[in-house]
This record gives sequence, structure tokens and C-alpha cells, in this order.
Amino acid sequence: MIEVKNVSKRYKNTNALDNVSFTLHAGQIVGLLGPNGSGKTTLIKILNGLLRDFDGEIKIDGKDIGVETKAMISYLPDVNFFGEWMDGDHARDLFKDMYPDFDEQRLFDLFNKLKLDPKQKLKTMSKGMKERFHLAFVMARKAHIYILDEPIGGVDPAARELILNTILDNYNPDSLVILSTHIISEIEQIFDSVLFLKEGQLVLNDQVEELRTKHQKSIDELFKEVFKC
Amino acid sequence: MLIKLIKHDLIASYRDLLPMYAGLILFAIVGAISLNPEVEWLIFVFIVPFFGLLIASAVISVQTIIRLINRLYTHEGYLSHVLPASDIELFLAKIITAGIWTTTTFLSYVISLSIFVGLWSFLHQDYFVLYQTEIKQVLAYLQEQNALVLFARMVLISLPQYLVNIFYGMSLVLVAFSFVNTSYVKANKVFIGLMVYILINFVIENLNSNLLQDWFVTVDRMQVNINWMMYGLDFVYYLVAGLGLFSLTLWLNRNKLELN
Repeated sequence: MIEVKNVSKRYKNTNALDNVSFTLHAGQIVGLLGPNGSGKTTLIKILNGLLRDFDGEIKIDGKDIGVETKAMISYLPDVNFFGEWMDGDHARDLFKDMYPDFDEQRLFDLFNKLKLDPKQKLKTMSKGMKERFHLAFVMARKAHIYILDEPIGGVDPAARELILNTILDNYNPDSLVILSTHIISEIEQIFDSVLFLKEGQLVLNDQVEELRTKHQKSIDELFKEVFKC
Repeated sequence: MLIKLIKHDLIASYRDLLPMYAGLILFAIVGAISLNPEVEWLIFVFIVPFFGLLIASAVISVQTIIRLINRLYTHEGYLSHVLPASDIELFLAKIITAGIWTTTTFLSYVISLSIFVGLWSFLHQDYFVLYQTEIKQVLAYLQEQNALVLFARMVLISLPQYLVNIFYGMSLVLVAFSFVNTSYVKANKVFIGLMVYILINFVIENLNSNLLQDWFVTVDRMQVNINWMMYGLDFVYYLVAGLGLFSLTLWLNRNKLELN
């Protein structure tokens, strides 16, 4: 479903991504793991067409990144992408117009579950509410691919559980979910496979069960070993 | 998709402008009611702020349009650039929305000035009695010269130029914004963007004034003289310049976009 071939991205004197290649298939949850600055967000931005000056080749469902691939991906960036003036109703109208795979009923259920008020403007919401608001919209699409950039970064453990459950309860099992994080312990049980990025290089790409069997370690322990200072 | 993008761009920006239009009209009404022709200093109390308000509204309109484009490259750009729309649709929507707001701002001037003059004249009809003869002469002259037809003709003649100038101006703004949000520029984005805008505009405007005659429409004693050759050349010049800048915007975004 996603084919990444020899992708490199350089910023001045640093390699944000260095000759990264991998293939991901539908029907799995993939953990994109690495410490801050390892290139996770750069890779995600490239997949979403937000960074276009890079070397290498990317195919999503056999297509170059463009209008068709954007329609397939539901993307949760690590920033709030809705305008502060917006409320749930405005954002719903926007998604309804733009994405044919948007499920209004699912959004309604998610708003109830996440205790959000569709009439409340974003500028009056707390940081946590804004994160839940954005997550609700991203998960209310019946997308082929979900790309979630640090959805549990910077939230308390109770909120983490809520966010993870929201993702697990709402993603389409036939879709591909890519979830980037540097917090492994509480999330590793949901991954089918993992990609480890270290200083822009892909140092590990394997199925979780195989890794556990091969190394006799949890993914969290393996992560600490790979990224030890 | 283009229509949907325009719709949501209008929704995103109307809050900034509608109160301003309402303010202009309100000020025109209050000004017309309060302005006493016998007290000369009152003219300054109302006329000066009124024109100040016109200038302020022009500034607000420009700011709104700039903000509209800036949204492509701030946090909201993370949504704009992942919408299933082509770059052409995305940028064309911004140009058309900006064109709509520029036109409505201009119309709000015309409407508020008309209210001001019309209402004031209606309330102070006695004042005109003093100048009855002169006013009649002016009106008769205007009628004789078909002033309304002339005005309508001028509007029609200006329309294509107005539209092409909006396209050129907005494409220029888009180039400046696009350039500073590519991998070419790492720091001092506002300064560099401003310099790019000024430089390109300087070159294009200077080239125009050197190559083409400045005035292709002249009005002499209610007679409109149009140099159609120059009119056409000027139109084509700004159309080509706009298309060139729009293409450059697309190229920069397709190949070098770096959203931070």
C-alpha cells in the first residue's frame, strides 16, 4: 500500500532522512518509533505532501503523492490544523464537503464519547480538548490510511488510554494505521509491526511478534536498547 | 472542489470584514444625520474620520486577504494542503475569494458614500435652494452629455482591467508567500517575502510603463477616448504576468514546499 524507496531529506547540515526504504501493507497498525528529531515527522510530512523537496520515490496504492493519495489518507498532525474561530459544526461542514469518506454519525458518536460540545469554539477549549477535537475528525473518516503523528505525546495516562481506545474502536480493520510515538510501553500491544528511525535512518523494520520472539524482549526494552545514549 | 474551497475560504474570512462594512454604513448614516452645513468645523468631525474609516477598511481588507493566504502556510496549512484538491484549485480559490472581498469592499465604499451624500442631501434640501440654479445647470449638462451612459461605459471598460489586475496582484502575493515557505528560505521569512514582492512588482510595473503608454482611456469634455490597441496590450501584459506568477506559485509548491 505504501512503498518508500531510498527517501532522503537534508536540512542544511543534517540528514533528517537518510536513504529510507520500506513497504507497508493494509490491515495493520504500524508503530513509527524513534526519539525526538529522529525523522518521524519529516517522513509523515512527506507522505502527506507537506514536504515536497526530497530525494527518492514514494508510491501510495501505486500512485505518486497527489490529490488521489490525499483523499485516501486521514492525517492527524502534531499541530492543531483547524482555525481557532471554528466550532464542531463548522469543522463538520468542512469535512463533509471535502471528504466523501467522512461519516457524520461516527463524528457525533465520537463527540459524545470524548465529551466535546459541537457548539464550542476551539479558542475556548483547553489543550486536551483541542487534541480530542482533532482526533475525533480524523477518526470520523473511513479512510484507507490513517497517519497519526504523536497522538499521545504530552497527554496524561488517563487521556492516553482514551485516545488509544478511540483509535482502536474507530479505525477500519482493512486500513493501514501509522502511529508515530516515542512513548512505547503503553502502546506497544496495539502494533502489528514497527519501524525504528534513528538519526534519519531506518534501523529496524519488522513484525512485532517476530521481534519479541527473536530478541526475547518487549518493544519498549528493544527501543531502549537501540536508542540508548 | 473549487466551489467548495471558495465557500470555505469565504466562511473563514467573512467575520473580519462584515462588521467593517456594517461600521462604514452606520458611520455614513450617523454622519449624514449629524452633519450640520451651518457649522463648518463639523465637516472635519465627520468627513475626516469617514475617509479615515475608508482607508482603515482598505487596510483591514488587505490584512484579511493576506491572512487568508497565510493560512496556507501556518498550522491551518496542515489541513489546506492535505485536502483532496489540486494546487491549481487551492490557489485559484484564494485568488477568487480575494477578488470577491476586494469587490465587496469597493461596493461598501460606494454604498456608504451614496448613503452619506443621499441622506445628507435629503435632510438638508433647504441648503440646496441657495444653489438651485447652479445645480440645475450641472444636472442639465450631465443629462445632455449622457453622463449615466458614459459612467456605465467606463465601468464596463474598466471591468476586464480590474479583474486582470486582481489576478496579477494576488498571484504576486502568492509567489511571495510560496517562495518563503519553500526549501530556499530558512530564516527572515517576512523580510524576504516583502523584498520578493517589492522587487517583482517593481520590475513588472517599470517594464509596463516603459513598454506601454500610461493612459489608454482618456475623458475629455464627457468624451471617452480609448486607445484600443494599448488597452488590449495592457490587458494581455498583466494577464501574461499573472499567469507567469501563478505558474511560478504552482511550481514552487509542487517541487519545493516545506511546511514548518
